[in-house]
Amino acid sequence: MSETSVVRPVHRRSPAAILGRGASWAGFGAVYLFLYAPLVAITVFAFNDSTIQALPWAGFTTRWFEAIPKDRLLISALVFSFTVAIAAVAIASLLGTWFAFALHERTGRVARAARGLMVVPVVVPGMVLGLSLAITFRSLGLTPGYATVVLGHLVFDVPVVTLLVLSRLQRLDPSQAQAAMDLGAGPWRTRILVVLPQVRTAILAAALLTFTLSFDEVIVTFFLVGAQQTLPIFIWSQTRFGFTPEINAVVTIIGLVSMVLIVVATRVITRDIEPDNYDRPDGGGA
Amino acid sequence: MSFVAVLAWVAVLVVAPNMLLLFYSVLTNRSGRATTQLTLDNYVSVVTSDVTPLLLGRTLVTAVAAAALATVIAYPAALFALRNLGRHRTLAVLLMVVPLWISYLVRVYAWKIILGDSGVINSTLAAVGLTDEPLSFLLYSRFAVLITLTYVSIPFVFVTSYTALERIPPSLLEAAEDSGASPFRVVRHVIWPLSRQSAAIGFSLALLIAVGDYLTPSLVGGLRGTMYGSLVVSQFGIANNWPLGAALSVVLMVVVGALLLAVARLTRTEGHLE
Repeated sequence: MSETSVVRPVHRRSPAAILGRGASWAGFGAVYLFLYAPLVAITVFAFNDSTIQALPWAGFTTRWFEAIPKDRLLISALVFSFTVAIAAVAIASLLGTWFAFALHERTGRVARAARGLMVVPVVVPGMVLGLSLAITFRSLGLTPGYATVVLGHLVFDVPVVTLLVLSRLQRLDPSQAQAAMDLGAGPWRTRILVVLPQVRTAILAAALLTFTLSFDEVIVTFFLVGAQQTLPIFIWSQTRFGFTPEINAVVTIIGLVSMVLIVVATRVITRDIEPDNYDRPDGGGA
Repeated sequence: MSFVAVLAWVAVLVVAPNMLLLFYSVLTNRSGRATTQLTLDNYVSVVTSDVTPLLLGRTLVTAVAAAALATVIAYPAALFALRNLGRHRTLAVLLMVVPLWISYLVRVYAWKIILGDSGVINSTLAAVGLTDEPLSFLLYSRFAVLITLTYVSIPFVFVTSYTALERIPPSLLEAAEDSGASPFRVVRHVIWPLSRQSAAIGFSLALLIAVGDYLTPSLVGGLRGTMYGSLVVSQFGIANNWPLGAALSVVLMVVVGALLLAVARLTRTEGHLE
């Protein structure tokens, strides 16, 4: 982009500058190397023929992958995690969107305070949130289990959905909703038939994000689970003894599946946005 | 009606839990049950304990260091991606967040594989002949905690910085360059002032993650890397002293809140782009 303007200072092409550029590229690459080294390590050791995850390399095996279906504790934890995440995403999408509409249509100090307070659980350190929720649920007489875990996740999932949808609502052109109202549509018909389709990509993106948040959550969940463990809690309980590469195998599979899902979802979302051009990309500002 | 639902949500699931946490922190613990005898003993024991203030200090230092390190790495990387990668830069952002989809616990555990005595680094060093004995400071140390927390924080700082940098109009940079500013001065006087608030948000996110994480210290920190979070968790678990756990939580919230407020103050920029 900077190449378009007229006069470039000469010092940009000096040997020192070229060296500097090389160093910057190397540094930039190093960041990604740092980021992906652990992922590579996990994947590689999923195929290592030893229970000890250390070098030297003990030979190639697929036995860790074959062991997964036979591990009943692991499978039940995986299934439980899915049921938690699916329920949390479904409820959070509904409630979060509803709350976003409510906050969008209401201005003033109370609304602003409510929005601010709602986000508190997202930014509070995990174990503080976990302990405060454990105390609350105990005071309400709820036994730790499925309901408490889902409810606990909703506390940070709902504001994420609300914030994402709300920021999209605020960038919408209000004239479409106004036109619908002028043509006689009631407020709910307008919300559902006119406004909702315009924010569906935001809801989809929020659903994806909250799914990963819920599926992977350990710190808060630790305070809320009963006897049935979620997958991350199961992994956590295994790490005490140094878990087997079976966990690497599971994580490798989940990682691959979620990457495919991300690519598909990104495609869907971008395709969805382009033809209709719902959003004004500049946000209206100059 | 909708707005009432929002208020009810906030009251029941945000305000009430925090009030209850405050309330629990002044209760008396009797063999695992919280009894409604009000006391400040929990706070007294937090402050006068030999371990707690030390752990709090260590946790804050480690968390600030990790967040700072992550910012020093991720902010320039975001700037570099934006200015040098052309239309591939969205790919750079995507690749930055992909690791977040891999189990947090397992990513942390992977550092054990990398840093351990017979881990990737030590084995490589030995094979090359650079070391005779494994470098034992790599794992089960504050170094390991620092590295791992920096690692998990980088994507957050990168994304917040990137979105802010992306919004700076190129015309401002060209104006600065055409007026003879060196690349360094452009960054120092134009880019940084317009993006430091977002970098600070990334820094704060990283700080919150680091402060609240008890998994990383107990996985890679060993005894010397123990952090404040483990203390809170043990009050919920083994020690079974919820009131003390609540007091520890309140103290942490106050300290971290003050710290974040200071960060926000220091990086405030007058005026906005919009």
